[in-house]
Amino acid sequence: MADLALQGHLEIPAWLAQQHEVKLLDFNQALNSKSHKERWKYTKAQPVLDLLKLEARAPHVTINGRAVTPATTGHGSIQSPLIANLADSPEAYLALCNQHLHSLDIACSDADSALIKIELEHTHSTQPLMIKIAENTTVELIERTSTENDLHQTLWIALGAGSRLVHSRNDFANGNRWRYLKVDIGQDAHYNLQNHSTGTSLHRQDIHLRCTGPGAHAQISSAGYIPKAKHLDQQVVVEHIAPNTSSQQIFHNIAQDKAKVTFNGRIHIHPHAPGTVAHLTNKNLGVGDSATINTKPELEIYTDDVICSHGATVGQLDEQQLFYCISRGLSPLAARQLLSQAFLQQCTLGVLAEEATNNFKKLNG
Amino acid sequence: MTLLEVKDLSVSVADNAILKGLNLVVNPGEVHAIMGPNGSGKSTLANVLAGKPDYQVTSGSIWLNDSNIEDLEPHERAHAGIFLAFQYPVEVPGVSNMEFLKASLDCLAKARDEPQPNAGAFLKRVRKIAQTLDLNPEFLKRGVNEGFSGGEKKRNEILQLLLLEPQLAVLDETDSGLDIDALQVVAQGVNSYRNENNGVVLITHYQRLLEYIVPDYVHVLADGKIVQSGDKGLAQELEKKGYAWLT
Ligand SMILES: Nc1ncnc2c1ncn2[C@@H]1O[C@H](COP(=O)(O)OP(=O)(O)O)[C@@H](O)[C@H]1O
Ligand SMILES: [Mg+2]
Repeated sequence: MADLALQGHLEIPAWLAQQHEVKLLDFNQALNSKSHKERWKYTKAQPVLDLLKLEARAPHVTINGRAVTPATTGHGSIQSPLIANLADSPEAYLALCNQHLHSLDIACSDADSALIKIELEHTHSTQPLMIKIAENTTVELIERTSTENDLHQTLWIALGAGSRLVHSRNDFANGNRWRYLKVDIGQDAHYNLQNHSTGTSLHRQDIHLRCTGPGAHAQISSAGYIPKAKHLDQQVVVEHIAPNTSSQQIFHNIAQDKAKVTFNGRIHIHPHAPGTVAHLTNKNLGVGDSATINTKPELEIYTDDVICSHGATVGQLDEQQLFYCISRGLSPLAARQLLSQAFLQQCTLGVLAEEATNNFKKLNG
Repeated sequence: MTLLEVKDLSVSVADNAILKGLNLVVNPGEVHAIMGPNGSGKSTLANVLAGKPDYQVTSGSIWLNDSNIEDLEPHERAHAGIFLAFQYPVEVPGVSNMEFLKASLDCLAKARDEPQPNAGAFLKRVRKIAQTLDLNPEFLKRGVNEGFSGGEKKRNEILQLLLLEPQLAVLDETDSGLDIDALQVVAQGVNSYRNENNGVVLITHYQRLLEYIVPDYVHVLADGKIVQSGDKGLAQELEKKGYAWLT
């Protein structure tokens, strides 16, 4: 593999350089490290790096139905969740270098403890957005992508102690995508991602969740339908850093003829994180001929006293279930569609579920 | 016109001969009980009638309403009027029972050139049938057979029977695993389905069910053939003597 190269004129903004001691040299190292190559084994990284050069605009945000303009964060004010290892995702740092960073601080006033609803509508590449949710605040985040343009999008979220976030996102439009999501989950905070997507000529999702406070809980349900000859690459890392944290992940993907699907799910349990409970399931269904499905669940455990499970399967529709449906009068095609839909339905949850289901039905029909 | 005629049927599964020249005639309005020891081929007969893949008809023929059906696909057989209540109903997580029932009924209505039932009437009808079978309406929202007890699965098969109203019902050990109360509920369901135009092939291992669903004929299947036929008295005799004296 040829070395990855950054565009020549990259300048690391002073605030980033100071705070994280990021140097141009580090970028090149991180981009060409062994672990980076492993993460980008099935998706070419260079087009994503090129994508990051695209002009990005401020994200469209509404809060409880009202349009808001996120603050453009200056220097020095950035704390968690940006603090992380450059090597984890040099692309995300590149996004920070290339673009303005926006931030939203969400807190419920004492007077109104009602649910706060944030909506993000992506119609173009967006400049990185950081959402900080104050302690004991309950938020619903709804994210939709409605453009067929190529798009990159970086989202950093920090959940304060005792906060709750249900994050639903649908991405069913065509176009190349690189989506980066990083979430720090504080003490007793709960994060729940409901992720529904289709494949495109290049669709890469990087999801990095960190349970940083004791009692933090992370949950992901994700359904994907990758049409003929399309691509979806999901790279998921869940870190358990504090004791008594838990995570539950379930990913179901269907790959049509010649589609290419990659799932890489790593659970990383740090030292001093006893009482961790972490479960991961990835199920893939190949429909039609010659889909390429790569799935790799990984465990890294550095603490005793944890409960951990992970499993991945690649299969086809169940013959017994098919016969059961067909014996009731469904045509073989209708039975296949019904069972495919059911497979995705198990991971299609939340406020965007109906919209997602309709999209899956169209893809499946 | 005969409803079902099975002529000299031989069937192999994975190159093992299971049915070896079986004959059976069911006329409209009749209930035929098929009894026999474990492994005698009862489920094989049921599956082959429904058209399950992997069952190879090596000789003989199957006729429904005087039309040959061996070349029909399973869904075409359902459209032609065959219904199989499975010995082991399959769980289909992610498909709600209601959705499944609606999909089946819509397919059959289309095949029969009947209008698709409207959603309200459908819902009402399903709820009513569920009630007669002592099935909690909550079951209709759950995944098909998902997490159902053995008895609930069997009752769900009868619910489908009553909803889809096929011409020929093949019930494969619908009584096994049922307690006496559930057995009566299921029997009542089957009896309410019976009329002069349809027929039932009632496969069972025990005579008990036949106290509640009174058959017109009882056949004993052993080693892939019907070795004895009679009326319900034969079932009582089998209960006393077992199967050994017949083979
Ligand atoms: N799919 C199969 N593959 C191999 N053998 C089978 C299969 N289905 C049934 N058999 C065999 O066929 C014989 C009859 O089985 P079955 O029809 O299920 O009997 P019954 O229902 O009377 O208990 C048994 O010996 C069984 O092992
Ligand atoms: Mg059997």
